[in-house]
Amino acid sequence: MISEIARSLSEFSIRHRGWVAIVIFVSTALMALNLLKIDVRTVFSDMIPSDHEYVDVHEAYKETFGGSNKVSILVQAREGDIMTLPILQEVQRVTRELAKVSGVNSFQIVSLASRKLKSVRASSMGIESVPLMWPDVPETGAGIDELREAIVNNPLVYGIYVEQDLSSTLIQMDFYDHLVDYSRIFPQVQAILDASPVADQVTYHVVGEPILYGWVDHFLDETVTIALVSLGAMLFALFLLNRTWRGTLLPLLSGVVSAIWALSIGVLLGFNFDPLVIVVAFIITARCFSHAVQLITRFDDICEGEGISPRKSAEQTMKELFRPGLLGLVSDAGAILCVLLTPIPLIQKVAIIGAIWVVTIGFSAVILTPVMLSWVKTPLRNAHPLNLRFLQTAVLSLAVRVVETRARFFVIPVTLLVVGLLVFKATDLTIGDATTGSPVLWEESAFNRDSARINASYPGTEQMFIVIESDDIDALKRPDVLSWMQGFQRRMERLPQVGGSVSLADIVLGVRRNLYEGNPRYSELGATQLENGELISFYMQGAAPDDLAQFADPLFRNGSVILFFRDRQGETLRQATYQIRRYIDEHPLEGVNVRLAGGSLGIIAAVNEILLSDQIEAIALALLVVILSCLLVYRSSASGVFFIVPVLISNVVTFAFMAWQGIGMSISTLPVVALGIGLGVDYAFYIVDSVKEYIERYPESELMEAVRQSLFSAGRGVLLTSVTLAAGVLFWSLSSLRFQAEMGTLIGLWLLVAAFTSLFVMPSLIRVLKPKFIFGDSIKNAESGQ
Amino acid sequence: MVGKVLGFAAQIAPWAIVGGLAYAAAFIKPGVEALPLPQPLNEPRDLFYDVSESAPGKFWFAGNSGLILEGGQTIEQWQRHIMSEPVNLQGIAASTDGTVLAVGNSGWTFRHHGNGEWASHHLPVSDIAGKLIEVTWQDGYFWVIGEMGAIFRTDAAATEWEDLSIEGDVALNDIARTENGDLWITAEFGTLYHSVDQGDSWESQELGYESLRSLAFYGTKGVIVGNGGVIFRTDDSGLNWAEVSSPTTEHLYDVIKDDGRWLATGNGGALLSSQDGESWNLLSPEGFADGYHTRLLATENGVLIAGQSIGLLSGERWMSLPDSLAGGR
Repeated sequence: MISEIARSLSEFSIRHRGWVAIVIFVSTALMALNLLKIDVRTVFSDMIPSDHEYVDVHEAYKETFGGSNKVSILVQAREGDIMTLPILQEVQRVTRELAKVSGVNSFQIVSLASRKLKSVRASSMGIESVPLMWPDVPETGAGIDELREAIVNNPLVYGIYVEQDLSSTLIQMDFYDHLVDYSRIFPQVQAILDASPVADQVTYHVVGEPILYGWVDHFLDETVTIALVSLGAMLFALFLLNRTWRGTLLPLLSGVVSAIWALSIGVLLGFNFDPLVIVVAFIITARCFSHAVQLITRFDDICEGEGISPRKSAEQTMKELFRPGLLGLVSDAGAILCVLLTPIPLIQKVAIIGAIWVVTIGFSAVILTPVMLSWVKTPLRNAHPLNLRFLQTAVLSLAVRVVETRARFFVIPVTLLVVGLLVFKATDLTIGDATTGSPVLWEESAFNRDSARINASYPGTEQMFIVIESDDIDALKRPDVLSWMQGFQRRMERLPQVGGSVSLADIVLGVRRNLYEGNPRYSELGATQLENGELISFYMQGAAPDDLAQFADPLFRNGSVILFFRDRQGETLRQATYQIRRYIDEHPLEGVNVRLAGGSLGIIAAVNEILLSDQIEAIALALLVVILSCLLVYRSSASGVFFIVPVLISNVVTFAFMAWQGIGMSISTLPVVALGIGLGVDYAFYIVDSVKEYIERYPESELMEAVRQSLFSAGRGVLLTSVTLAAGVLFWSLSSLRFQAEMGTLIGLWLLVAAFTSLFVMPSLIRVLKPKFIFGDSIKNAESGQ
Repeated sequence: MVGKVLGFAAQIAPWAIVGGLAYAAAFIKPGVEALPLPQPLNEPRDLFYDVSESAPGKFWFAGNSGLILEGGQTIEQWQRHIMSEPVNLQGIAASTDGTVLAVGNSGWTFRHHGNGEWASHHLPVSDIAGKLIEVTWQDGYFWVIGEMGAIFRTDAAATEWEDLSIEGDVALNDIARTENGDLWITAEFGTLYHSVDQGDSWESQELGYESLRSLAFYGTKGVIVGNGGVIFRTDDSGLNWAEVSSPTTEHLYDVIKDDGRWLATGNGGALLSSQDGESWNLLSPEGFADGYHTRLLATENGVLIAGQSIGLLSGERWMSLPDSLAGGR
């Protein structure tokens, strides 16, 4: 039936080639106009899993207990400490200017110059609570000395917002999540810092998610440049190896048509285009190139080898390669659609656009390429004299030699051994981030250096909060609840990656101490709920209503304990959530429910928790798609085993490489793996189907002849595509974005492994195992080929 | 036969692989090798209020949440003790025979001798303000003072207790004895108590309004320190006190005579020294924390200091404990 469809479609397409081409080109032109509205930006909410208990907690409390878009600015004195008038005035200037940044929650700007940081002064005459440096900066030496004393004596400021040697201070700001626009925040913050009148006296170090993604946006031009250079390199390689303009320009044409269609449909669906997933676009374009190159290679073989006219050759090419092409596209689209089940909007958008993109290859490559080839006038003319075909021939001859000789019997055991060893290595793969800084950027990037600088002197730039919930008003004032917070903080601070923590209990301790003339012997919780309530009331005298919002709601029913972390590695977060749960289990609180976990690290912990199962699920479903495709086309589930082999090998090699290089499995690797499965299986489809096609056409031929023909025809396309794409992918390693460089490397590796598995392993499997779905009931060919 | 088996295996193999992965997706979760998080010797949230020495090189720091750190010359000799009642321990003292007595909030005391266990004892104190602030060993007795005028005296074994409390709502901060046997107590809001009959009766006087935190005598000379950095000095065993100029406005919590110099400490990393008790200057040992310090104890090796951080001051060299013994700063 598929052969019938292939015959009808190829005949129709070539007979009406003019109209087919016009329809495709006009559609492409119309869709290209739509691209003017493309929205290239990172949307934070796209990265939040939609169904996870941590996310529920985060969403419920992010506006008060701390969102996931905090920015920390470290103002560091170049010499001495920050307690000079110009530097303090600079802290005030920056604090005031930050209130103008797009999407900022002006109530959540905290610095020495904000009214949030207070000095609770005590003497034998009473206590008073006044902002440290708001609204004015002290202008006299005595005033600055007084400020210094106030800072040093305030445990909620000293060491948390001001470094212990007073050489730096932190300014923190938070944003309304729904108003966050990374492309605006980053330049606005940079502009404020660039306008510093004391740039010779201070340095600035800025971290936080909006800054991180601001850097990603900042490198967008470079990313586009690398993509273009990479594309150019691939075309050059194609030109060099193919020696024809059609072999170079038609894959480009297919890629451009596909990209325009897919991105345009994305725009129509209202999707934004995240710069971080540009690598995914690159992989799909690679798929498009691969299909086009297969068609062109086969066309050349038919034209050159059989002397058939270009028009007939194009029709025959389309007919012959329709089955593996369709199989490849269905598998590709199906595999990437499998990640749709991952409850992360970014991944779901990638899955939808990816699947659409792959489907468009059916038009841009499978149909358009043969149509364009049918117009070739001089198929045998080379575009340049440099003939590198001998290199391809050498590799393909080696592949044939492996199948011909007894070496084929060693292929299976050697492959099993190597895969076994790599599986062992792959078990070291880290779920979540594997590095201390952000894995999106290189370790030596300004962002990661700033992050390391702040983490070295402060409790930590990354935050997670847990929530203590009760139905009772003033439950948070209960001595046992406050004492629980203290015990919990003590336990969590034993973790080396936890730099510190703060809670309402810390406030109460400080107020009680100050109520008793600042005597540290009274740094303790009140004995009763009433006393704690009075202590909190003292703190709130003269305070803004939201001054305690970070720690408790207005009725003191729900509160937070905020933990500061020095890194966001997967292991750190797993250990932290484990220890939190353990403490909760060991120390139950009557009438109070303790919930994990909000803040930026709560979100990342949630992603990490679903990542492994979703990754395995995506692989399982992608393989299922491959098997069902095989069942549909070859009417044999056993054929699935054949095509799973290169997929599993590529998968295992890539995971082992990630473990070796310290690349963690993250939200960003999910679509790459799903797409990689499509990549891995495509090459095998072309090789195996070519053998089957040959045997069907020439039933009396010998098996080795079929294999040889397959390797020198489909195999040449596989080799050409993989080497070409791998050459292009190399340029991604130059990216300033570590994520893109690593993903580029992974894709290159995946391509090469899949290609060489198809060339060196699959033919031996065919000859040794003689699968029925290729040879049918009569295995005459197989036996005669022995 | 073999061919049929292999054929059957080939048919079910892909489903088995997918089934296996589906099982893994459903049931395999990222594992975590749980850190045991053993109790460290000291934690960032440990706060200390007093230090005592029971034998040369063997000392005891009392702190919050029922914590006592037993210290020695090497890190192996250090131990962390948590009392049966997790109250803040405000004072600790050792008798000449090695009995250690710690006192704290809500009238709780804890006694320890030799290798024995810590034994708790609850003193009758006010329910409203029952903090025992200080314990000292002098003249064959442990003297314990605290809020609401609490004064208790017990023997060297800390078993027989006498209640010598003063009537009134006043927090007593420190107690010291002069050469002639008189007892002096510094109290809040500038009050100074004096007893000439071993605590049976007390006379009070006012030295300004700032709370007086600590006093020390050396011969007939004595020094009192208090809130706002106030310093008073006497040359006649306390008959007359005169305020002297202070280089700080930070609250001062303790004063001692050490090796020819007076030393005082308090909030904000304040550390003062004076040769004569009259002219004071600030010391800034490298690494000395800016937080509060509440107790100074002169030992053979230097001055042990308890507070937000603990350590040993030798001359002007600061060594934080127990970190420095473990190779830290």
